[in-house]
Amino acid sequence: MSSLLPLSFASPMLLGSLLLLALIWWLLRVTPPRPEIEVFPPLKILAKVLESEVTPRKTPWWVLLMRLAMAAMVILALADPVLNYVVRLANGSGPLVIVVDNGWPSARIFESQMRTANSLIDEAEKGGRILYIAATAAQPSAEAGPFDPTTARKVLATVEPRPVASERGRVLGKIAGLVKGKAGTTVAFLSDGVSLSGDEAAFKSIDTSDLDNFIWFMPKPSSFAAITSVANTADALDIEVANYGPAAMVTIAAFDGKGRRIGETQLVPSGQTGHAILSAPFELRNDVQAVVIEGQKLSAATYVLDETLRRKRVALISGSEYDEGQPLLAPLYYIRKAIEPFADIVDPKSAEIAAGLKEAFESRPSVIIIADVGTIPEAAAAALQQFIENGGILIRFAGPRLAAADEDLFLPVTLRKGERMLGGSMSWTEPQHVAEFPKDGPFAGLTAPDNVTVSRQVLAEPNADTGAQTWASLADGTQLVTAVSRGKGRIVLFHVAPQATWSNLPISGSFVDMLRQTIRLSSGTGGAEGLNGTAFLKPWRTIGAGGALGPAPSDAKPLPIIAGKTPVASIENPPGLYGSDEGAAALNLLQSGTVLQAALPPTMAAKVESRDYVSDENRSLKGILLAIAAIILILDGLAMILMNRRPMFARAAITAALAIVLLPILLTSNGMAQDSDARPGDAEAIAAISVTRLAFIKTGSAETDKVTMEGLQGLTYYLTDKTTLEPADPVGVDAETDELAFYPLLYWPVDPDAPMPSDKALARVDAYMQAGGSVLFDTRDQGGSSFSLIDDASPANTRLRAMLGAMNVPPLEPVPDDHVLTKSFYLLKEFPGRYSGSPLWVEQVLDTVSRADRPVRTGDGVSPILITGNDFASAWALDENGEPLYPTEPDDAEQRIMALRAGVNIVMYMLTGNYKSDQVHIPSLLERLGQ
Amino acid sequence: MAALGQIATPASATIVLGEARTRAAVMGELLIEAQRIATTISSGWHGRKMRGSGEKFWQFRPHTNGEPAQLIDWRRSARDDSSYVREKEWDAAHTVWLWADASRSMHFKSSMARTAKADRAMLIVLALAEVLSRAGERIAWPNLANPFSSRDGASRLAVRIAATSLPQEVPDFAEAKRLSEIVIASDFSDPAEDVLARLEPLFARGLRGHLVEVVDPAEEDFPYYGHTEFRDPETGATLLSGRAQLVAQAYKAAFLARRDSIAAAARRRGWTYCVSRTSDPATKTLVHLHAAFAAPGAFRDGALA
Repeated sequence: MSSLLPLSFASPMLLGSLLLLALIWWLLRVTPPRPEIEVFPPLKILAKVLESEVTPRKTPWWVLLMRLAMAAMVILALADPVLNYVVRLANGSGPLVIVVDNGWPSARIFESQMRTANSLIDEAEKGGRILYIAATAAQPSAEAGPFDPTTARKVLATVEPRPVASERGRVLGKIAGLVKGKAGTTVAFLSDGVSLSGDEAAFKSIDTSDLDNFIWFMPKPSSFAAITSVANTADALDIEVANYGPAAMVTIAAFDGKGRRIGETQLVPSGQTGHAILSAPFELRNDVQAVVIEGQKLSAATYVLDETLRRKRVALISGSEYDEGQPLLAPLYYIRKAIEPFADIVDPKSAEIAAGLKEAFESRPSVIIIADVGTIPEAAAAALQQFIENGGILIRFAGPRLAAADEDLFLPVTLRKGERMLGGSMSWTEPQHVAEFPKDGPFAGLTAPDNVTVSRQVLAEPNADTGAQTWASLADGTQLVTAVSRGKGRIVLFHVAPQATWSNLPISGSFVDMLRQTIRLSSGTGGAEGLNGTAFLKPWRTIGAGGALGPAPSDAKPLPIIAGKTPVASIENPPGLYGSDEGAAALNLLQSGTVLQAALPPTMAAKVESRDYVSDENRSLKGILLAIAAIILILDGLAMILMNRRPMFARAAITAALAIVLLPILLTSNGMAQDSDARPGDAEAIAAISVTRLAFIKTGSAETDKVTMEGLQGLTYYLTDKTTLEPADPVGVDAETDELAFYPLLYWPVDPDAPMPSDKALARVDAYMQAGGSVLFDTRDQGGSSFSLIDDASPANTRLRAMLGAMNVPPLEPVPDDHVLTKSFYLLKEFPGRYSGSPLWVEQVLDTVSRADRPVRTGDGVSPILITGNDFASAWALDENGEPLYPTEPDDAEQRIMALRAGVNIVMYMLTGNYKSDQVHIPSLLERLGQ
Repeated sequence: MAALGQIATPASATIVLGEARTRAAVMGELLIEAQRIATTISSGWHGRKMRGSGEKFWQFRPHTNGEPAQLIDWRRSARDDSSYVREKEWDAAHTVWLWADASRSMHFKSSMARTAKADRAMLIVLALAEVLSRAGERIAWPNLANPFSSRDGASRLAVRIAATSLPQEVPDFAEAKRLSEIVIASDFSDPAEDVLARLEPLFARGLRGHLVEVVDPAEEDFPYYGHTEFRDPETGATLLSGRAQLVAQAYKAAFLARRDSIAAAARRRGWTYCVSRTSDPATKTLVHLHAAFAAPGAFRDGALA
């Protein structure tokens, strides 16, 4: 259907059915409503008073109308009408200027903007207007018109939301120039809804004399949030968020360079700006490349971090001891306080410098600060040299020791012996102030403190040119901070002491800034920092209009880095990361402290009209029409009731009808689907842990597994018979796939003929043992040779060693006489199986003393490992009648009983732990109870 | 909306047989109900309050000379020196002819009524039969049962009614003797002149009687509203009314006028007339009838005549 009408039909053919209305009308006319038929015995009496009305009653005209309307509604609804919204413009023939505000906030409403703009072009086409189209975030050279409608549509198609702030002033100025003198101009400004600082001036720039109408399109109120800054504090990322509209709960996530999610946090609604704290370990935080507000497809919801923001690890070394009682005199005190907020400090334990440096290198610091150390020990020099060459920064502070030291490699300048003293009773000079920081140095952006005076310093030899660079100097021109590059790294020297003795610099705010700037220069600065003059970084990854970090677009230009000047995102430099994988500088859209406010329609002399964008979606009217038809149906029913029935029944009927209409409204169903937390394997897990059961690890050898199964079954019978423990049937588990944590004890027969267990299986069993489980290894080779830890071992023994080689095995010992295993159920001296003679090896109980008055050696925990060679399983194997399946060697009934008792003791030990050994206290407990 | 009134008993091809069966089915219930309400009626009216031949003790009186000696009640006389004669209360059986209308129109029952009119009429008649039988009166049903006296007269009557189809026209009570009383329970829903034309022969024969008009509240109050077609259950004739509520007043006036004229005619001949609304309890009517029977003139006239 043509765009002249805002209404179109999905099935217009059905509209032909409207002819049926005539038929309905005719039918309703000729067939009167059916009378109520009543049996009435005294009819003859009634007949006397009632002259029968022979003329059929006509349907009242309004009932007819209502029914026809109902039928029409149903037919229209079936034709599926769709209402598409369009913009209407007042008549006029002047130029139409469409300004699309396509800065970053427009991404959320861009569809509406395009629909509105297209609709405006349609209107202009109808009115025969000339069109100008401009986007507020576009290349300054972009063509703005005049266009004919066809071209205008093509131009409009090239407009897209850009991840930069709108330049409303520039674009409006340009438009103002183009339409100057053209009367009857209509400007349609498709605003993105966010106020900018230059708005007022921008709208003032429009010459209102030719302006016929200024239409301000405002998006519907919505809320979103943008990240304005991220600071890496001592223990968390502090994310500053600006809210637009009513603040809502948002989730903020941090991602590393590979797009992996590192952490997330919630921001509770908090007015216009809020702070979210994202806690993560230091190492992880340093990997954060982007912080993103989830669920917002806005470029300002993504904030990129570069190397400079990552927290540096700084090692602090000091040669001098200090009195613990006087911390303010400690050389590192002020340094520590200054860098704590933005760096992680490594404090070597060793007081010795070489050892301390060695220790510091182990923690891989970015920066090493050495305070008042005369000479770097020879032992550490090479490593320190290597550290600097690889990009580390060495910061040194002067002090009495350095002043007295001989020549040192690790200084940017050659120092004169002794320090210079300014002021004081023996001096004519006054303590010196700090001069303005050099424009080309790293402190260029800082303001020189005017309240800092230096009364002592170390001086450089004036004629020795070491390639050093002066970063800061005193008012008299002597150096305060010098630096020199060595390889990828630097050596920086503060010519004053780190305490407040030589100057009050360490207790000034500038000290913090200077240290921060210096530490920022450390490793991984891909060239952006420390440059003199202007450098250009090529775009690496930029933030798209939708907030996604991706490859830079083709029209992105290299980012000029000018020392001391914060770069600003522009159409040529979209926000993102500039540089390369090696090191990148972050360019973000919003500055800290930015507040997002709703833009208001401008005030100007011309008529300003505020409008909403055309609706996002075409609205289907089907539902509304059907609802109207239903309402008419109900009204019709009510009318029929009112016309025909007695008032009493009519009232009841009205009540019922109202209830029918209102009930669905009142009973707003909010069916909440209940999530099931069931997971696959739950049933098996529940079955496994519902009953205690013995388990063994399947070796893969059918014969061995069968014997083991029979053995555990036999032990289960025995346990059920003799103890209160009634285990369920034993199970064989696969160490590689089955969950082991369900079983307190795993019996693992070592079968040299079976395949070697996989590394994964061994790792899982190891983890099981670490987590508190116990494994009973049975080499079953006592009949051959004994288990021994010396080399002449049986195949099973060799296999066991291979297996244990992959696990963390504690020190072992044969079960000592006073071990709780010997007493946990039966009193046993040895643990025979099918064979006797092999000791049972358990974890050595360390640091315990056997005491004569204690029958049991005390100790915590249960041995994670038990090793025997006696082939327990064969001895335990009983059939259902309790008859043994395999003979013992020698064939001795007593030995079998002992074997079963050993099994019972082992199981009891596993289940009760050191409880039995704690029972040694029972005599004294009873004594206390007065028994 | 469903019609207000309906025919309670479904009509079938063999209406007569069907009715008989249905009546047999409901007769038991009616009988039980009739016996229940009969017990609530005091049966004091049947005593003649005078000595005579009967079974019930009336009084002892001193023996007078000349009376046969066998009249002396020796048991009483032995207690003192004088002789006594036991006298019985006079107990003369009376014949009451009962009839309940069972025509099609009587099966009407509206939603406001407790029961169909026919059932109500039958209930009243049977209850009356029970009361009369207990009192030793003779009861009869025209063309069905000749006058008989029995303690369980109501049951026997009910059995006979259940077994036959009842004539739907008012019978002529040809066998009724002059001193008999007649009870007719019907709706008298025809115009007054038609009803009186049928009753006139009875009046003329000097019979005494009681007319019970069983009426459905719907017939009396005319609660119909709107476009309504009225249908006569007997003739099938229909009447269409566009706005039934408008004729309600006129109809009610005509209905009551009919009743008044019948009642007036009946009273003129010494007959009683009472109305039983099916929405009211049947006992109300029965109490009314009981009072009519117990009226001093009623039996005495016959008895002394």
